Amino acid sequence: MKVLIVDDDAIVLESCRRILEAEEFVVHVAEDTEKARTVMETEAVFDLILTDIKMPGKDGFQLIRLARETCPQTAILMMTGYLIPEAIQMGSEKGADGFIAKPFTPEELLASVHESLSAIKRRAM
Amino acid sequence: MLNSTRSKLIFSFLSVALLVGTVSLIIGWQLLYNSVLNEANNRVRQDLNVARVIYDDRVAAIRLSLETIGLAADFNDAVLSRDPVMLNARMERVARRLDLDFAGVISADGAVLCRIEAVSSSMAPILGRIPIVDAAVEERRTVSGTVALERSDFSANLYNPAETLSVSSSGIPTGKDVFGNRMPCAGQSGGLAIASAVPVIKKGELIGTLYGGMLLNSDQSIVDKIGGTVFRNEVYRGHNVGTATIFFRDLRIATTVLEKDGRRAIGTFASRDVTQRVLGEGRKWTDRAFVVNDWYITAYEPITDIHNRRVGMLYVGVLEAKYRDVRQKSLWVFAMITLVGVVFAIALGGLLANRIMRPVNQLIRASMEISSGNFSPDIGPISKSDIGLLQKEFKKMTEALVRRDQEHQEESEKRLIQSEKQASVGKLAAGVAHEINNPLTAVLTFTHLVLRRTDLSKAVRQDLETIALQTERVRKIVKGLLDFSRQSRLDTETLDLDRLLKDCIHLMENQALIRGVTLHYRSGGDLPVLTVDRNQIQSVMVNIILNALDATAPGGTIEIVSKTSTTNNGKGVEISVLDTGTGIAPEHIDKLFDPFFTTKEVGKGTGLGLAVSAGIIDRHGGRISVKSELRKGSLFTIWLPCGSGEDRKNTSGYRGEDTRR
Repeated sequence: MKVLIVDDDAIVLESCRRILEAEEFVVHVAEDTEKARTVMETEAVFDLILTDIKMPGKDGFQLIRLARETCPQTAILMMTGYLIPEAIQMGSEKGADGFIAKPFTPEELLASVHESLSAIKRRAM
Repeated sequence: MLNSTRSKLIFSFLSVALLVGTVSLIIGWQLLYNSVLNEANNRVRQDLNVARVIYDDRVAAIRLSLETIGLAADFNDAVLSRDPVMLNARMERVARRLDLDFAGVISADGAVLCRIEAVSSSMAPILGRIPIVDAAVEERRTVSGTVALERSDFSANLYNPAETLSVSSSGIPTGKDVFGNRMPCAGQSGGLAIASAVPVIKKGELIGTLYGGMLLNSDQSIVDKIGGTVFRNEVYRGHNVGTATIFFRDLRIATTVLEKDGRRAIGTFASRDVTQRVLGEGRKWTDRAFVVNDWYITAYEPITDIHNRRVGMLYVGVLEAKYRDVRQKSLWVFAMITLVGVVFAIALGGLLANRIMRPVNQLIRASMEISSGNFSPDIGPISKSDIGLLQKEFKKMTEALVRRDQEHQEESEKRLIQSEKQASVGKLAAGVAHEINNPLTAVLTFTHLVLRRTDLSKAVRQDLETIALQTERVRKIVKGLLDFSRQSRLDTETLDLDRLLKDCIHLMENQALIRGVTLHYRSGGDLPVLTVDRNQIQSVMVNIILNALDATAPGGTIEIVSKTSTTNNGKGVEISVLDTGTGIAPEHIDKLFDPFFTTKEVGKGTGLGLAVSAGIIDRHGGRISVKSELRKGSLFTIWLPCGSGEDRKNTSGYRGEDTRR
């Protein structure tokens, strides 16, 4: 399983990477939307993209939309420190498959990741 | 309304005054008229009696004089001796003194011993076979009274057949009947005389008869005496007040009644009714009657001759005009009294209406002031009347209104403070959440990852578990703060948006003052009531105004305008907030309502205010949109629909095309 984690905070990136790598995920990270796009262009299709919303430059919503357009099979999990209904609505619109509020425990993140993956799988069927 | 109360009051008074006036007018007038009429009738009756006495006096005078002569011895001798010189001298003297028209002495065998005619009268000489002489001879006693003289009496005159009575010299009946229904006829002509016949008896033997009398035709002395004695020749408006007439049958033969040309109305007739009653039935007549050419209050009685036959009438009348004028005058007096009453009623009504209406008007004005927002209007001095009770109650009401208004003010201030607190806590919480949640994520992650290791000592594991537990606690605290700042459930109530806006702006005025920005609100007047969540709409307004304040430099203005607006979504209210601030870059406009989007420096904005505001407006079924130009300012427009919360199922709200661009 190939995962791309996007967040402007290095410690968040590191936390997520450690959790997912422990579960045998192949993890790529990016600090902003632009870098994420580069990674997405160079690498093969990701199974999952885990992205923050509030980032300098283009925000996570734009990344979600881009990812949704270019890789329909990729599960997109949105994470934010302030998971308000407006944000969930916006994320759904752009094409997110799952949502998770920071902070989270490794179990919570993994549960959300698997949920998103099965959601995209259900949609593909 | 107040005019009508006043006029009602005046009208009531007026009605009473008019009613009392009219009733007193009618009753008073009637009573007065009746009493005047009664008085007049009584007077006329009395006058008639006096006239009768004068008439009878004249008869008695003739009788007494003749009786005196008849008793004189020398006169008796002269009768016996048939001495014409002596008899003539005697009779002439008495005739002149008594103003007799005829006198004479007749012997027992019927020979005329002496005859004097028209001594003082300008009339044609008369002599008749005076019936009274026959009566005296027959009854051998003095007979005196009224004698009717028919034309035939004169033509068949025993003593002087050549001489006839003619009334025409003073106007034989040519007069018109006052009622115009009878024409004079020759048969009516005749005369009336008062006369006396005294039998001259010597030693029980009738030796002759002495007679004398005066013709009443055209002899005005009796009627003039009545006029002079009874009425003192009083004149009223050119007319004799009192009039007297002697009728031969129904023909006026002596009268003080004047025709229009000033002549005496001799030769005219009495009315048929009067004739019928007085002559026909022999009764008195007392009533008003039209005599010749005026209305009189009249009294008639029959004149009977010596044989008790009704041969004429005696009349007196009082000019009705005099009494009518009294009546007229009283009518005027009553009318004037009524008029004064009416004027007084109007004045009193007006005065009272003023006194009553002044406090009422004051109350009406006060009510108007209250409805325009002044809860402590001047209601004037407290009246002592029962209006005062109303005024006191009104005062209580205004005081209660002031209290309620204050309570309302305090309540809404409290709510505003609450929502502001909520907003500021929310802002802080959102900011804190971002700054704290990332490190918390790391702490939680690494703690749990370490906890997965199996080589940890029990003490280390316990410590790590404490870290994890306490981090969870921190997470809950942050989440609690965020939840506090967001109440997504709509708690709607029906309210006056204008009032809500005023409250918000009032709250922001200090902020504006500090920043040197003018905050101006222009109300759209009669806004429809809306059913909204007060706190949430307030927080939207506070948020937008705060954003505007942040964007506007000192000296700038923020203008808030509310108005009724009907879109294709129905009727509603539009609120616009226009600032003269820095404006929004075109590339930012699209993202303005996105969560976490902010152009403010790090730590100053959360990027949630407008997103949350848009969410609130959306949940109300409304629209929010923005137009902006860099360095000129921004215009935020919020539209909220009228109607209940159930109508707010539309969720396309702030995401709609028109609202985003």
